[in-house]
Amino acid sequence: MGQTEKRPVRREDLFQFRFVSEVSLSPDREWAVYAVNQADEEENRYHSSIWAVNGRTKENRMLAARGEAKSPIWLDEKTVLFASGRDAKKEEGNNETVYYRIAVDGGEAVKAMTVPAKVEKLRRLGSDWLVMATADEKEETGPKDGKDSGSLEAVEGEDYHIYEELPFWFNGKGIRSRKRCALYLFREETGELTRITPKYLETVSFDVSSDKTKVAYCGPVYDSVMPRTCGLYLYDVGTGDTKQLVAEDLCDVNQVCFMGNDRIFYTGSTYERVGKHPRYYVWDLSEGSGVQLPYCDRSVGNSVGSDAKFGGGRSVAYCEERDTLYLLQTLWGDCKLMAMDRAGILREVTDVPGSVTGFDVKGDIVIMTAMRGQHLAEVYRLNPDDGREEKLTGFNDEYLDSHKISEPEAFRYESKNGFEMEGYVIRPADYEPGKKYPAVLEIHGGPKTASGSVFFHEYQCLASDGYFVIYSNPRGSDGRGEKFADLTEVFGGDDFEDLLEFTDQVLERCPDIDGRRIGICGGSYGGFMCNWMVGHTDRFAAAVSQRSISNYLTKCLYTDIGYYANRLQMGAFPWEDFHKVWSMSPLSGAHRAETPLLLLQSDEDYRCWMGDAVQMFSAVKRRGTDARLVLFHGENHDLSRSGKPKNRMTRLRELEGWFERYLCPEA
Amino acid sequence: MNAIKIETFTRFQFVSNPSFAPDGQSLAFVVQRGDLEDNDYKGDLYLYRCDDGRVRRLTTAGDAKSYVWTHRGTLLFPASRDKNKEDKEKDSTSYYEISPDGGEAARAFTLPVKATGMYRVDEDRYLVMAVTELAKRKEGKDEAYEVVDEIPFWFNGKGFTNGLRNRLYCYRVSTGELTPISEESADVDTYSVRGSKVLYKAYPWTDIHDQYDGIYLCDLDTGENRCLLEKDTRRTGMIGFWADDEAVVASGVDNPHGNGKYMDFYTMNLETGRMNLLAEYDYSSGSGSVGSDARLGGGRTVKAGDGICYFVTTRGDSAHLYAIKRDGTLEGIVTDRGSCDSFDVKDGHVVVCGLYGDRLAELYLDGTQITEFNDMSQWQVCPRKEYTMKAGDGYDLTGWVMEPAGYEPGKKYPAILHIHGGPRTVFGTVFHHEMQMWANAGYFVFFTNPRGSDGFGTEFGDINGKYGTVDYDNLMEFTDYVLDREPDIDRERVGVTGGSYGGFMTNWIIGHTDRFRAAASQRSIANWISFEYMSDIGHTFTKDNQAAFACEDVEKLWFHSPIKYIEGCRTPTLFVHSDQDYRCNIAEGMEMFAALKVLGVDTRMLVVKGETHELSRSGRPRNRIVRMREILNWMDRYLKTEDAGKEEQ
Repeated sequence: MGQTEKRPVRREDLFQFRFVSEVSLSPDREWAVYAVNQADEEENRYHSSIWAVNGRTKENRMLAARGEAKSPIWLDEKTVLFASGRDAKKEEGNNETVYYRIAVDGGEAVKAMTVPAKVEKLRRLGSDWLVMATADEKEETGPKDGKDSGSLEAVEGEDYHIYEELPFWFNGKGIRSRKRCALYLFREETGELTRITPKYLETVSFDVSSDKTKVAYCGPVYDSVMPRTCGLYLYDVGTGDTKQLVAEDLCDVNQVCFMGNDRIFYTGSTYERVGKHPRYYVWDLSEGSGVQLPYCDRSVGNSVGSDAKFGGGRSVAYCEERDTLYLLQTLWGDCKLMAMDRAGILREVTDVPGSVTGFDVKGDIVIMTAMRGQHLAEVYRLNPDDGREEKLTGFNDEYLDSHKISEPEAFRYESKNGFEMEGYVIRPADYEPGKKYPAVLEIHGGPKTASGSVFFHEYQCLASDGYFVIYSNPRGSDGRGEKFADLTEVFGGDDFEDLLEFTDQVLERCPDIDGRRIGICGGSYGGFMCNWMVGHTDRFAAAVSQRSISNYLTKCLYTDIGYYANRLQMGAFPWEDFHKVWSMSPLSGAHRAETPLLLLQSDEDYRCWMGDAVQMFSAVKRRGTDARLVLFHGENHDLSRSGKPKNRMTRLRELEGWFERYLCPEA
Repeated sequence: MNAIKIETFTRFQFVSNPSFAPDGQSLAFVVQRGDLEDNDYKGDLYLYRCDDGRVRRLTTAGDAKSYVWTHRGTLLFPASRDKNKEDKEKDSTSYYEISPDGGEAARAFTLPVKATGMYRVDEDRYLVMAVTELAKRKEGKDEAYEVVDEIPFWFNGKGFTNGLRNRLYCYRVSTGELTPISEESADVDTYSVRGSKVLYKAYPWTDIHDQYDGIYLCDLDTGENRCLLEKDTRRTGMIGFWADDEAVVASGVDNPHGNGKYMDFYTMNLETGRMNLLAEYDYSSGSGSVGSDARLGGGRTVKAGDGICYFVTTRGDSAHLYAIKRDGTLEGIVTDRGSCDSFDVKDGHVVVCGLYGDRLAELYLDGTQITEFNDMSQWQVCPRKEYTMKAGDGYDLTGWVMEPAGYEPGKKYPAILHIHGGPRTVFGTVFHHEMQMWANAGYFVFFTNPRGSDGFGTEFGDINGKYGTVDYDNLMEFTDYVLDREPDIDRERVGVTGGSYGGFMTNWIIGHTDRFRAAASQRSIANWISFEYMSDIGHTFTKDNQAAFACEDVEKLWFHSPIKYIEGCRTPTLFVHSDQDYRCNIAEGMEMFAALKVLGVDTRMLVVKGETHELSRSGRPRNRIVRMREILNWMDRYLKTEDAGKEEQ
């Protein structure tokens, strides 16, 4: 296809993307099963289907799609179990999950079992099943779901909520007071669910031993305020006994992974500074003791941002045959697959830049979903010894071939802050050197996430609209170690300086950017930074602040993680040190804002609640500066990544419209 | 006699909105009642004949809550009775006509706007107040999201109002013409009609709806529309169009109290717009403020005649009906203790809808009670004792103590201090359901009107920049006083509650004293900074009451914010908030709740969905029950258990 036929990237292209996730290998390593999601414009939702690809022959086939097929797991070498609502009367309000069985080599699916709960995760446990679902910890009994037809009483959940705990709500999960993520044993013959996690324990992470006889899990136990500290627990399927392995002396215990039958990997932190990385541990059941592995100054998991990523995957898995633990880590702007030996020494397995979004491993085969080049996530087969990758699917190849994708160009520079910094520039589509262009500085969320070279739909839309898109990883970002990530009590200081310096660096390198027409754009922490910038500099010509923070006096109290995360960031609650908290709040500078500000916010975003956007809007509007707030109903913090497709269109339309109005691109 | 319980309010009939027929021979009014089945309120039109004193129910469908007399002596009321037709016409209002002499109502006409009020000008013309959408709101309308680009963008009881305006129209029945009177961008507040001329208050705006309305005069015959007072010139209140060339206008000008000063009466020359002081007045005018949760429905609170203007005013702890005349004299028309909620005056006769004694709202014609929709003798109404004390700031404070039902002197009882909202409102001697319910549940209930309350003049009522100081002192002194005089109140089992300003004060109290064993803070304020930027009235009320905006003196706002003092709080506190309360945003309650959680103090929060700042007064019946039950349970838990009040070891 010739260059001239390529089309610009537009927001509606979202409907062409297919999002690959949740890959897992068959026991015989022949096939990998995975989920594909696609946005549907007409129905304003995503459709999910289950696919299988043969790692050897590359044969790729759809297994099931009717009635939404999701959460595939292997039953045996040739059979996959998946959840589907195909026979459900209605999807909402029905408190069961129906599973179907299908063979990878032909034939339709057969109904396998019905679990009487909304299953969030399912794992094999001997001849039974391990189910993760939400438990209700309410003491009072009474009508719980739906309306008792004859009752003239208001119904909890429908007419009112009771908050008895902190957090009382949680982003993406709704009202969480007296609700817990619990583990259950599900016996197929009896259809009964038996809870195995204790009352009031919030399950954060769990794994099943190789022989399927033990479950290890971690999480905080509380009946008032959720603490950071978690214990590690073991459930023995044979005896039904539960044992606490590790006392609650570590914070944020996570990434529980059985290494065989006797060793359990987990991470935990001390949570005294912002950006602190967890330490890695292994608990040995045979010895009844644990050891801390060598410190590596990196977290486990993928923190590379993209709005073209949907659905998850494993970020840690153990390979019995090689006695190796594989895990994902973010380094600079890439997420890599790492291998860890028995001594805890880590080695990079992948060396292609980009982002591994999930993987599975058996013997000498690694299958992963990864974003490579400007591709969306596809399934790859990886040789764990030499890092060679082979692409097995190409759902988005045709799209990429037919559209004008501007590849991000990375550059590094020595910062006055003493660190080597990395930044990226995406040139406008049809860029003509010598012409002047406006630019958009994109600021990622977190702050402990990373921007890299992977495909980002919003950035490409802006490039097609005729902007340079520039972004970097200022201090506070992930991928560079915890000293770099530590913004404790310097929010709006170190990070702000880094972003201004980066902007100067870009302007030096790209003289075709019109320095008077630079906009800023970001979400979450990036929204905080946009709000901060409009009150602290006039160098930007427009700002789009999304799911943002404006007032830490309130943010630290009415959001799900505020009372610990924002408390740590600010170093004080408002009543402990008003000045400290207020002076780090963008709202304190809002009455000076000269930059036209668009705020995009979802009303069920319990991470960065709408109160902050409302406050920022009011302050800037009353200053006499152009301000606009678009408030999406029924969306949460993840609107830009997994919101209803039409709302994602509106979000991009508003964002592009605002920059068009104030930055006047020619394209 | 039956105990007054939580559900008892659903047995009440709420009388409101009386008005005389054009011939003065009868008067119409509205009766509403709660309906638990449908979880709403039903309203019907009633008629009282002045000759034989008979009361007749006119409508029975429960869908008539407002009405207007036609010149023929029939009644027009808005309703949706033809579901198929009217549901399609979403932005329209159908009016039905019913004859007081008999027969069912029939549809009279449908207006192509969402009407919120109507007034008869003459036999063919009506003024219509309607909510209209600006072009920016209509274009590309999508229910998936709200666009916000003006202040305020939401309003308590009305939801998201961005791009909506209250517009005044003239409707001609004979031709079906609907002609706008106010300009498109203006919000109309109130109007007064004389002949075919309309004097109205409005605020034209695009970005920020600031403080002071302008005053306009429209001649409906010629269509001429003139501005007599530019917006943001001076503060005005009620207006009365009492002569062809003059109106009476309540107004305040700059003075040491800012907007805290009550408005005096001025004449306004309708040629020049010139205003001259007519009479000084140190009370509220144009509406009453006696608090009760046992009333529902509206009605007239201002009416101008020839050279006279009648108005409701709070004086002391009562709402009276007063009149001002062209010579500047003021006359009390109905000055009984209680609350005149609404009235009408015609040919020398006065009808008042009000709460007097321990009765719910009933109608009184020339001083004689003419309706009795509620037989209060069936209820165990607990009596109240009145006390007047000298407060530390030199003012006399009057307050009340209700004894628990079945009170046995010598026995010890728990008690609840109740704090009213506003703060410019009053508690008086009228029936209050929830307070009666508490007394019936075994509590002493006591309440007063601290500094900041309505009815006692500007010096007393103005606490701008003083929140949490003089008012708090008054309440604590009153509490001491009551405890000294009522030895049967167990000092270790006293709770406190209040809503809105009363919620602010409850939040303040729990940060300043441990004397209360339980608190229920409703629709409260925690933090004046978040209030300033989130409340529908934050951009005006904050400075009027805290003497500063955040950008001017953030320290001042923080000083008066209850959450500043929360670290020392030990009082178990329940927070009650409605999720569509745009006056005191739910954020305020959540901030307090989270703070107490973090500090390890017992707390709980009730969030009522789909309700506003008015939950306790006009919320859906089932939701009102949940609210009252939660508050009572909370008080019972801490004030009634065996070991309540004992110091923890």
